[in-house]
Amino acid sequence: MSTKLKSSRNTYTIIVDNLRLRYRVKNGSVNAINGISFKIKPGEVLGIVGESGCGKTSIALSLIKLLPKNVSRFSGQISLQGKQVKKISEKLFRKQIRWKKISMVFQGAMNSLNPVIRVGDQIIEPLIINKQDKNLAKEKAIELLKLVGLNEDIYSKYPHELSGGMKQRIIIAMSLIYDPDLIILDEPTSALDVSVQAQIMNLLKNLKKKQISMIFITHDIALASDLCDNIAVMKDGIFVEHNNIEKVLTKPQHHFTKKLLSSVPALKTKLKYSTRRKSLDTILKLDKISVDFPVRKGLLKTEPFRAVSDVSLDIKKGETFALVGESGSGKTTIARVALRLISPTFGKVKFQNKVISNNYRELFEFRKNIQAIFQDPYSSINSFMNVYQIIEEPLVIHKIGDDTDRLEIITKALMDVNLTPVDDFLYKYPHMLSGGQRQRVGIARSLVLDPKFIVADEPVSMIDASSRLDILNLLRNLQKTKGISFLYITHDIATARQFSDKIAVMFFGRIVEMGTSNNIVLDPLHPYTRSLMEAVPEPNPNNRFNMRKVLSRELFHPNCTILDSKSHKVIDLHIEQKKHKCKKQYPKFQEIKKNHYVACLL
Amino acid sequence: MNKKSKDSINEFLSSTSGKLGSALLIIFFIISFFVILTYPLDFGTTIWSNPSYWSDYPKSAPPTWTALLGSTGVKHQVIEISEPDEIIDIGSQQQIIYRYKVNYNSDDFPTFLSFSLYNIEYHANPPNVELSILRPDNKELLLYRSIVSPPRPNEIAPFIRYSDSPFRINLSGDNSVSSNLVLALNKDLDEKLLVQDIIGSNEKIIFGTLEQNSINTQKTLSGEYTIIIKFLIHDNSDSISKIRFVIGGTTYGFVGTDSLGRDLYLGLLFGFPVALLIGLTTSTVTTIIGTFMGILSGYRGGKTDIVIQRLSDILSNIPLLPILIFLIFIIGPKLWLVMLILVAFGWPGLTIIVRSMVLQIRSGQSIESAKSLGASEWRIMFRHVFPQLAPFIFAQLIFFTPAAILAEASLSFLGLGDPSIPTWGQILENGFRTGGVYVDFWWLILPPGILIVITAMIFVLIALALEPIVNPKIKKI
Repeated sequence: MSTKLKSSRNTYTIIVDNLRLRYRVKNGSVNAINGISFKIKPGEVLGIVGESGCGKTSIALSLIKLLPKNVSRFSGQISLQGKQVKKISEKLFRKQIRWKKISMVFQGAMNSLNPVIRVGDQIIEPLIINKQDKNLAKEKAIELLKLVGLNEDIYSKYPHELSGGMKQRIIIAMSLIYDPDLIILDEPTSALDVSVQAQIMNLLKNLKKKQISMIFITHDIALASDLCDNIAVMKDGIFVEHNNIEKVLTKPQHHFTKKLLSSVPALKTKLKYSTRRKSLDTILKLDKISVDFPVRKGLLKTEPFRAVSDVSLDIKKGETFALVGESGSGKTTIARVALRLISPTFGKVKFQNKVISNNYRELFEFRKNIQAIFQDPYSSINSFMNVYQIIEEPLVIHKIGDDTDRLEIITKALMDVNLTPVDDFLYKYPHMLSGGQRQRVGIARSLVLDPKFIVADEPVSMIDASSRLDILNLLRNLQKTKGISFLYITHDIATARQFSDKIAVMFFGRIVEMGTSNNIVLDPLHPYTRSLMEAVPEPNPNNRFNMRKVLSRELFHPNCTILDSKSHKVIDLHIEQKKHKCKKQYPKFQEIKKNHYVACLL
Repeated sequence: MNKKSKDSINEFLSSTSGKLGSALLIIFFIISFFVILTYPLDFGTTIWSNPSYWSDYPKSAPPTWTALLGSTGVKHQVIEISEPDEIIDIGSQQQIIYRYKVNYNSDDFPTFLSFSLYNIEYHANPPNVELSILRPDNKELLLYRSIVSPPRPNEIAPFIRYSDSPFRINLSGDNSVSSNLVLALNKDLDEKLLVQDIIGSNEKIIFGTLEQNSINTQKTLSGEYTIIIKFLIHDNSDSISKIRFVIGGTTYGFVGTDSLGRDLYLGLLFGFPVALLIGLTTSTVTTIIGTFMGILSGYRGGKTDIVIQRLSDILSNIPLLPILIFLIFIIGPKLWLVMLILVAFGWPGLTIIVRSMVLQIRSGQSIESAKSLGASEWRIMFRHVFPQLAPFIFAQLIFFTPAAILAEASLSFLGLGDPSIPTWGQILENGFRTGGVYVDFWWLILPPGILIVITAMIFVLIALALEPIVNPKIKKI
């Protein structure tokens, strides 16, 4: 069947010419795609980079013919291996092309696996529907599982038994079931940790070697450079720049491409700034904090689960302290302890040398001085209040000023976060604002009480790439002008390095390495930190030829890390496969270099 | 803020369902106000549930306008006479004669005939009353003759009779009327009539051609009938205030009557304010309690949660019906009791749902951020948690309104309704119980049913129009 469709003379997998798409909406229509053309050869990867709402997903949906019903105009040519796809009827398309020639990995698809069907059966479902032999299908599925780097026994597991990375591999295996010629990947690594993301990228690099063409849709130009041969930068429904990766990365033409590239935090280059005033006064001290959460075991019994164990932090006045870790490392729990939203099971929180107890009045006073910026600007501000009410709220709670005073304070805060002209924003509701604007509103709210300390929990991770740098710069300026100390929680060691003075790396509830930003980034000692650094994507055209040396988190044994006297690096005895006796105790912090601590054996 | 609410109202009214729903609701309220202003407060007890009030109405009569659809019916006629036609002096006595001419052209016989006397005052001897009818064939039939009840021992003049309730004779079924008819007619007839044959159907003799002997095959005699009432009084100052003669029709009013002869139009109108009262009060109170308990339970957690949840478990698992029957047995069928019980057993369901929603909202970042600002528990519960629930709560409130009306209707259907306050449910139940469904008395079933459906629809339409306004997430930008 596939030989019939395949034209031997045509060397391109897909040719798209002047694609235009318009949606009908309530009041008129919206142009989603305004004339887009591209060609992809077999084994080639096109990266489409753009921000949310620029039309990237619409391209994917129009190629696989899954557009919503409110399309008012759909024109242009799509030729798949020399065959015009647009004219093919839906029935024929479904039978011959969708999933057989073009398949797709949908954004967030790993969360839509059916929880009550074994993943293997979900992979072979299309084959079963087409009445193929179950045993043959099963063999095919196992072959695919191996291809995506999973064990055979995953076949009979249920989705809840798998980690996010494994589920994403399953989704990729599902897209490969008919050996398609083109796979469209729509943000395949969103919501995955950096190290898992790097592993998935390694997998995709392997697939590329099998002559499968891919369209890789992402908002992260650095990530796209890890895989793609050509990059198309998309904005408002058109490709503002479309070229091979070397040219896009080294000689960007369009200012938007330049902006995207400049917003990628540089990791390995040396930063120049160190003009910050050093203060010796501690503002917030976390003293041997451990946090247990009850986990239900059986009907009535609960067992404590230690989310954070024995973490001590010492944050100085005017300093930014970054806490870096992957999901489940306990970094957000630390943030919540620092905010005293939860009480630590063991240990003390000291603010300006005063232990913060559970006393209501004491907490109330404490909250005035310490504020928070949250990860998700879509859920952290009350969507039922307008901007004025949102920013006014802390003033209402702490009974500060009358209406005129408040308006003045709010206006000033909005100006501080560059939401000007202020009058345009005061009475808007959150749904009328973009993600970056919402986050600015969140920041403005945290500023009105004149706090001494702000906990920023992944403040930029859910914001479009081009506005990330603006937000971080804004925070840095605020710190400079107001002398606020920050606890910056992030999974991204690159932004941590840009934004903060000190970095602590967390791994499964403990800190493994701590030191000044430059020390940590330029000379990572702990093997886990090194792996984390390796996982950070960077806009380098050569990356696509190399596999990233990323290790799965499960491989690390922090108890068995030791300072190797010869290389002067900390090594994991398990990973290096050296003979040793496993220790039960977690190793103590050692100051290996000046201001650079690692939890390891000596 | 003012501009905002104005915008909201405009937005609400711009949708078709909003327009339709609010128009219908306004009509509902206008009717309700009209009823509240014009009906006596004790309408239920003194009028609706008082059989003697309805004795002069035809039983189970369809609406008048059905006559337009083909069936020739008898028009219901109430003849009230208060001015005498003629006064003749006979010695010291006086004969007062009342006459009233009626044209009778229908092919059907009236459903009944009745004759009532109101408020007779006499000073010496009781007056004699004589009722006769002059037929088109010039036969004058004496129907009834009686003497007003004489003075009781020690009673002092003037003697007042029939002032509280009228003296009423059902001419169709009265034994003496039958006897009088037999006496008057038998001398002209070959086959004699028997009292036991005609009793209960006297009207067929009175309005019949008398050509056939059998009651069942009688045909009506069309033409002008004259009703003649003669009073023989013994004192000039004796008086009769009103005489009433009713020819029972086969149709009645705008929506007909039920088996007791009650005018359904009056009952259904009275149902409007009652339905709104039941629906709005019950749903508002239930929703307030349910939401409050749910938020408290979900947000506070711990012991509060356990107490509220167990309480709602218990309440939602108690069989409602036996409790209601038991309470009604003790306290009596009262509307407030029915409403109280609907509230008491209605909130737990909402509480359980609200709690689960609150548990989800509680773990969200907006709550965490409010907490870190130092907001008090109450502020978080009602400023941050509640608005997120509001659209759902609002929908619940609106959807619970017809649910409460329906619940009351179902309880009425089981005979647990408050007989002193007629509701649509009771009218429906009455229609059903008296066989309205089986004998095609549709006017007993359809009007209350349709009104209940329309009421439910009004609130659904309003809910549809309100949702995009209460929920800013689906609000237009």
